[in-house]
Amino acid sequence: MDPTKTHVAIVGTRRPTWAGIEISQRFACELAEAGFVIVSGLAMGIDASAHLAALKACGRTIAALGCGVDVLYPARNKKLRDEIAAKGTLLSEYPDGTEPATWRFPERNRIVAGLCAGVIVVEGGAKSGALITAKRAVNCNRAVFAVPGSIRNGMAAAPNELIRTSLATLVTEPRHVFEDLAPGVVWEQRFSNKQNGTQPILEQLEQRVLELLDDTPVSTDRLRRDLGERSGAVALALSCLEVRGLALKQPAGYEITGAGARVRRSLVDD
Amino acid sequence: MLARRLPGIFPAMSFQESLEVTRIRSVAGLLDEDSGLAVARPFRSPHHHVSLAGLVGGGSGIARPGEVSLAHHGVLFLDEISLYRRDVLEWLRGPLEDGIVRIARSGGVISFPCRFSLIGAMNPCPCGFLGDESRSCSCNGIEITRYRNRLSGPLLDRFDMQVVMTRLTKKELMGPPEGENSEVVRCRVERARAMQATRYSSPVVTNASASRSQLDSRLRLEDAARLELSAAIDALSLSGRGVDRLLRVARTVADLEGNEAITRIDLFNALSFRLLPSGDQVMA
Repeated sequence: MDPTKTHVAIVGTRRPTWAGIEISQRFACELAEAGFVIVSGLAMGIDASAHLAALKACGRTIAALGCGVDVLYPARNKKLRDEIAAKGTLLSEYPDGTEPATWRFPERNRIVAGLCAGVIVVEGGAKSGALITAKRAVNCNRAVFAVPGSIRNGMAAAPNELIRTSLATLVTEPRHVFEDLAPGVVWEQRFSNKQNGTQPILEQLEQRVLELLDDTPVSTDRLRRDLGERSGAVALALSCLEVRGLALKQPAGYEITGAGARVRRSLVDD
Repeated sequence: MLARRLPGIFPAMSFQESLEVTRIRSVAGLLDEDSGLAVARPFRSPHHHVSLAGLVGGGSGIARPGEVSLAHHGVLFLDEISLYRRDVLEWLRGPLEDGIVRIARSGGVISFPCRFSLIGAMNPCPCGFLGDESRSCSCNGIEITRYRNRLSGPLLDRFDMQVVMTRLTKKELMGPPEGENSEVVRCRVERARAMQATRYSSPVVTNASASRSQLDSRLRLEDAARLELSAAIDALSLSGRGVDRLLRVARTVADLEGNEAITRIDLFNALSFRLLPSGDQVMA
């Protein structure tokens, strides 16, 4: 199978966690570099980050819209929409001037599913539109993939449910999707932008803080109580992790980044 | 309550400062016949319905000083800062920078001094439960963005520090107060101020008000701190303004600790007070 003729959709919530954004970017980037066409719905959140990462990787991307191609929706994604219009494809089954309506989005999801050989669900709530896309895809005999998440992360409900009901294949690496959709083609390591060798040196408290971080924000107070340390010491460790790119400050607390998760895995291995 | 304690950890007012504060009160007609020179630093907390004239000064007849001037040498506390009218908030940018308000009247221009510390408090989101452990937040991303965007970027830019406060636990509510009392903190602040007075050879220049060149020539960063700073600039994509603010806060943290040069610990401490990017979720 020719990977450059394979379309894959990346769909998910409009309100992702930082982890969700990183995951969709990573899948979109690596699969676009491998030649896949990345399809999504130009919504805020997961959709937008997938389109953006595909464009950044100089890959191809298609946005299937729930309104006319001349209607700017969502307005916040104007820049992205213009860039896709220039370098990718904007697609709609509706005549010019059709305004977006809630009932058109599930309709649009049918186009997304139909266009692709496979659909990847990154994050979504229990009633996410991503579930509709996934079910449509199953009905059309398309492969469905889901990236699992912590059961404490409400935005992991949709992918976890798809895995639970055996509607989707569990994937944790872009390579898994590639090997499924392009059997016989060798996945080149160069596609995956790997960690650059050096392991940051972390002090003991920083390691313990890193172990407690999650894909959803954890408050400093919670960390302080769980660790039994002074809040000053915890804040210090968090700043250090942030400077190393391993943690991210959010309104509700700190989240782990992709790099942080990699470092944590290697700590467990040791 | 925390904000009200703030004037208590400020260094005592100098005679000159007391005179200025008393003068403003007198002009505002707030001085009783038997009250002498003001000794306590002012603490003003106008309600969020405050008018522009109430905050800035003005009124009919002779222009009177507003809340910003009444807070001169003290604290202006805006509780629920996102509820204030946006034009009123935006207007604060000028005085925060200049320390003076000018009110133009047909009869001429009146100016009042207004060097104050601004404290704002707001919820993390409209429902107030974002990041709370016991209840989950019911706001969606757009609501949160809209709520946080009520403070414009340029205004947020003028805040040096941001601290996330979480709900007190039962133990903290019922137990004896932990931590130091204001008196102890004030002594430390006065020591830090003394260090700054020597550094800038002036009793009025502080780390916050020092010019860029004054700061640069006397900053003193340990090598380890310099390395972390350069890592932080990359990792957090700090702007020029961001670095400037970070260094001023770090220098102050070091002064409070009594460190001659800024250590990496001081720098990390300063980083933990860094502001979150405003409104728009870090998206894209």
